[in-house]
Amino acid sequence: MKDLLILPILIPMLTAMITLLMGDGLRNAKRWLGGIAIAATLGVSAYLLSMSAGGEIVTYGFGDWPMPFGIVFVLDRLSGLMLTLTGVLALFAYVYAITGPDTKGPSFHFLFLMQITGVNGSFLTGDLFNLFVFFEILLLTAYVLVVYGSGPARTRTGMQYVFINLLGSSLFLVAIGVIYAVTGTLNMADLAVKFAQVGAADAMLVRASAYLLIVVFAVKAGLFPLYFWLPHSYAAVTAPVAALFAIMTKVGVYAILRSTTLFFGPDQGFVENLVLPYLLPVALVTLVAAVLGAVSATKLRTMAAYLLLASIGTMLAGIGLFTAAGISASLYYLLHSTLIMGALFLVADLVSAQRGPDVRDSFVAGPKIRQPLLLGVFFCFTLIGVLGLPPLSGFLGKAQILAAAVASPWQTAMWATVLLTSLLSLVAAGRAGTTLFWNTSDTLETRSSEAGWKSLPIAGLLACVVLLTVFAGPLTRFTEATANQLLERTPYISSVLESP
Amino acid sequence: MISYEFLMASSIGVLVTCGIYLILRSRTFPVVLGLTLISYAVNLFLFSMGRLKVGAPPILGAQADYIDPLPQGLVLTAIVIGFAMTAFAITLAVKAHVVLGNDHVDGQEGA
Repeated sequence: MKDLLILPILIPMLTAMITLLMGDGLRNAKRWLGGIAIAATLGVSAYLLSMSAGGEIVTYGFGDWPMPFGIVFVLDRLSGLMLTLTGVLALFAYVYAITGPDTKGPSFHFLFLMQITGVNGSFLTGDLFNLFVFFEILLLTAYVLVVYGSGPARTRTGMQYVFINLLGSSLFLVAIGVIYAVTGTLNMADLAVKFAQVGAADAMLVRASAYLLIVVFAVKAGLFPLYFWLPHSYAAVTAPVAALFAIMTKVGVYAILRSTTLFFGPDQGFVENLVLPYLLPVALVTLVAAVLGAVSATKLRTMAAYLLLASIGTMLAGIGLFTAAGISASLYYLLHSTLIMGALFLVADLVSAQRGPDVRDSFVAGPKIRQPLLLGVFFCFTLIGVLGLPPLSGFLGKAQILAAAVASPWQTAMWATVLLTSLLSLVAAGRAGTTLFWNTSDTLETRSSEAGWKSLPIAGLLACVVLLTVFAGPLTRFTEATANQLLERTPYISSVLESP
Repeated sequence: MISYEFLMASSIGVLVTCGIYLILRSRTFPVVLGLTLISYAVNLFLFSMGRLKVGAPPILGAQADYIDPLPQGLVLTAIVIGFAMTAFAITLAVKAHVVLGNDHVDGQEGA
């Protein structure tokens, strides 16, 4: 049974290699192969989710090395949840991609599948250096995907994206080096034990490495002040890639959540509650900065990228409360925001295509949209979800986060920030909608095309959001169980270190 | 006599200093060079994490003195990844020069 843990990595990776061997031709075969692989990965992920739902922590040690020496994959509720979320988002982004965007350059299917490999690996691994390796896999494919389709804007932001992440990788390695030198281990469960035993002589070393680690994760998540690379990259990349990238920032969020609960948490000697005092305020500042960015954006995709950042700020504020209720609310909001942000990037692409190549998605008067009703419904529906208005799950998520903040010392700051930024982003969204859909001339842009099959993945993502809303009760019970499992570290540590 | 530790520490320091200076430049080639220097420094740093010892085997029990071989394994991985990344960064910088017509990191002259 535990051997299944390797499949979310193995299926996309092997299929990616096969598509690479197929060369530049055989597009249809590659499309089918990739689709089947992603669907299979989703199936395995969903099965792993059901396996983890009972609260059991499953481990898979590579080569059966005795712990803590070998590399280990660990499946708990959080990993299962993130894997399944990745599968769902990737499936819809892929369906959108094979309606046309995958013809803009070579090796798209390979890159897309390898990206999923990297993301899934990051969610499953229980070893810090292995996490670095999976980060590199997802980054290297992301570097290529950012510039996929070419064009000046993509090349420019691609360069900045590569440079900042290369620097991030170097910092990650330094942090890993110091942690290994001090504790003699890189197994995350073992680190949770060893950090508590670090002597006073090494206190500064271990704290410095811990801060470095958090900085690296914050770059991935796009926290203030490390987010400046994000909006322009995400606004420039091809739509299905942007949709898939909605999960990339969540890898950073996941890493922060995992590390703060597992080894930077309470009773950890010199790294005890290391980031906790800063996480919540920084998340709120991120939220404010992101929403100001959304208000001042001059095109829809930039606005979408800033709204993505705002959602990161909101969920990290919930995690920063560091209570079961806060983490549970943030996880529910994470599910919602990942799917809905994916949908928003796809909708932005449709709007951009139907307004023609002259104005695209800029907030200026332009030609009439070819299918105003369809796109209008998509746009309205998606933004209701993104902004967290009732009745969709975004509202439930935000309400839960706010409810979790009650009675914490941050209640006033959090309520004020979250509610005011919600209002501001509503203004931004209203401005976007009125300009794009109503400030139009009567002429129809002849070069625009109908949505066709491209509306299918968007409708699918929106249907998932509706499902999140309908099944909010059971899902919330699951995220609560997840949060409790995260805060209760002992079973995680013992099931990894005592695994046969 | 200058110690091994001093040489190691100072060379890492010099590499990082030069690297940081270079990545703050506005043209792509110095930035790529700076990133390369920093990755060299990081590799040396990782290597020294197993403690600096001369003439000690990486095997437990063969001698009283031994050295931890794991950081060397980590360095090997880091070198390979770093090498691939540098190759990609250079390719991208060349592409940017072709597409954008200049070699500024912001993609525009005088920005």
